[in-house]
Amino acid sequence: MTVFSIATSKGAERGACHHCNLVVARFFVALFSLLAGLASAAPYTPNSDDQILVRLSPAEQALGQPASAGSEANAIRQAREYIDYARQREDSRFLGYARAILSPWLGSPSSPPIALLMAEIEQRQHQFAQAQTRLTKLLERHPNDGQAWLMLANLHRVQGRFEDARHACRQGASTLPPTTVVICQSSIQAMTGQLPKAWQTLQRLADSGLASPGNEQRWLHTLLAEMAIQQGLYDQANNYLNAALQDAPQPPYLVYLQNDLRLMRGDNDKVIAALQPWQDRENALLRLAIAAQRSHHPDADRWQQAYQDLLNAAQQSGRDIHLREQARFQLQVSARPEAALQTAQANWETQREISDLRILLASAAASGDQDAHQQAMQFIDLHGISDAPSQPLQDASP
Amino acid sequence: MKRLLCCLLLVVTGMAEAHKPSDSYLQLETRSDSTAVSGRWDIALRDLNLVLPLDTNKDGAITWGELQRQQPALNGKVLAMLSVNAMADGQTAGCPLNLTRLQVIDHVDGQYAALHLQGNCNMAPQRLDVDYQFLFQQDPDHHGLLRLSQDDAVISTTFSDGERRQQLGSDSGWQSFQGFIGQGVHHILIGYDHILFLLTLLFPAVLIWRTGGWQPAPSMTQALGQTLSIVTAFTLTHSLTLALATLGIITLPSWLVESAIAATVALGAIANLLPRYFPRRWVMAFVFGLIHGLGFASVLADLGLTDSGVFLPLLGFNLGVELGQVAIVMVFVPIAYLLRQTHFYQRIFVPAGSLSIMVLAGVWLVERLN
Repeated sequence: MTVFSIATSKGAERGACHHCNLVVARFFVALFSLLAGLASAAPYTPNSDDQILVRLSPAEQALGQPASAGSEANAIRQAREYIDYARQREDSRFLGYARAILSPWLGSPSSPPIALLMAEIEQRQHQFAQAQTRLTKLLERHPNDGQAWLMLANLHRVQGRFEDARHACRQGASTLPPTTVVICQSSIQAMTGQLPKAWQTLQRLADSGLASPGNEQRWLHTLLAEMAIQQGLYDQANNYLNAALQDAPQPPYLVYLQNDLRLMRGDNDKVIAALQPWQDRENALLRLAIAAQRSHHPDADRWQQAYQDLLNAAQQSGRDIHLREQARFQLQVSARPEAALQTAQANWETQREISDLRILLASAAASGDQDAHQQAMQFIDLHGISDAPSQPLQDASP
Repeated sequence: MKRLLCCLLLVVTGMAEAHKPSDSYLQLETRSDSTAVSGRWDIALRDLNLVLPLDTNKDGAITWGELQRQQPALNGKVLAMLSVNAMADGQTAGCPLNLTRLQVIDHVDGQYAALHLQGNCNMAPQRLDVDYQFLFQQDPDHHGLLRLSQDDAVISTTFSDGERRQQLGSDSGWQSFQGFIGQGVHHILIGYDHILFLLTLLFPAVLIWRTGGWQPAPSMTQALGQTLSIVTAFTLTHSLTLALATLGIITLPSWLVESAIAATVALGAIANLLPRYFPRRWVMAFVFGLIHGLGFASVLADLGLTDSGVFLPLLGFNLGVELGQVAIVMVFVPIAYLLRQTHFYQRIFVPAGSLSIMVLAGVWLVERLN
């Protein structure tokens, strides 16, 4: 690693030779990945019987032998706990355990709570089509299930089907609390040319204190933070994030949103300080690798390699669904814009949130791809999306 | 209800889970002239703990001692979830597996138990029938990733809840050999930089440079002679480096090889524009063939065959490359021969074609260095 930094800093001193720098850097990256590949993965025999191989979290200890949960109510409670744990600890094995607990109760038709939990698991595993079918079938039988409408609205929204999303919010309006419907509609308005209106509505809602404390409040603050970022109001975004992150446990999604905001503002040191304790989490590792590379942190190469290893393992198992993150890594860390664009375009096939749009625009610009830029701009123009962070990229056609 | 509701909204974003789902890594090896099966099965300790209670003293940590004490259960209960059967000539025979050695291995998401396996089938397997039942009951999202080496071929496959039993076997040697010939043909035909390099060298093969100008080659024999010398020289050297790189004797980063290939195309075009400085075209084909061979090797490596059974894939792929090359030569050279006396071919096609190839290759070179 030392050799690498010396070689590149020499290149930088020469200044004039921009390419040499890059070429030398690439050579060493290639060399190191080769060495790392050779060094890893040989079985070994530990020296002592007392050597600890793995520590189990209390939730893992409690798993024991999860056979049947006995009753449907138990299964629902247990699956809910597993899904929450999976989200909070970002551990997808627990989604599998939740599925196992629910499987004896998957009659046709299964009860609404079971169907909703299954749809949630499927969404989290990016099986969007399955989740949508499950929710649609549920709503055919129970058209007044507000929660199902809400989930369907979100499913449509994250995939860029805004008209369907709006329709689902409206359908749920008769059974959902009014504040929930307002938030649901505003989240779609923010992506469909009515950002100022949505921003005002939600700010008023936040000031009114009508949103129920706890999760609804937190959801409201999250959306406000995202809308503030979309308008380039970074200080306000930070305030809303701090409000949303006040109570433990802090949802990882919000922690990453806050650190993405820090990355936008160049606060690399804060990102590293905040996420260093989460080095075993893939999403944290991505942000650490970006921040470390930008600030020439001594662990930059290690974090980059660690994330690359995770990508390789995901690819090997045929479950590389983290395309948004992968594209960001390829663009912002490994400096492979063409590869990033390919990944960003594949990601765009399934996810169309504002961050998916940003990575598509950024990788199109970096690889000078006019068609991909056009593709993103058509979506922006069609829905009237405004987004300050990607505005320079929108203006500059490659 | 309300709690559930809002929770859902926070989770329904596109963000991915951090820790990867559960996978086990299974390697098996068989030979068609032996009844033995050997291999290794890496199982995450967290996963194993769902099937066998490993943390016997319940202190929240699994130690090497605790794992070792479960050897009998690993050999019995866990290996019973994996059954391997040999298939040959319409018959099937079981291959009971035994745990011969227990070790530990580090994978990206933590420590795994490495179970070394040994078994005997009573007959040499042509194909293998594998039934994988591990962990699906506890975690339906679990995958078993199998890598089977059979003689020189490697087959990879994935077991999942919906696909627990699979029959695996390599195609017959001749079928896979044909497959590699096909790949070789395909890759020279779509590898536009190799085609352009070859064509650039062949542009003047039907001409001779005399007193500051191109003259048509006086005879078919002479044109054929020049063509053959170029093609043979190119074939000799690119076959050499293709073999050396595939065997792992030479390794160069692909951006370097790709850039060098672009440079050879540009130089070939320059040679056509300044023919008096490059009288022996076959020398150029000979030297630059070394670089193009490395490019072919990276394609062959992408087909995933560098680590076993190198010889037949290499031979087949190389043969395919040559067949594709012959096809290109047989289309181009007769046309060039017929046109060789025309003003168009000598004064326009060769210089303008070479110039545009030079520019194009220059652009590639800059792109590939970036």
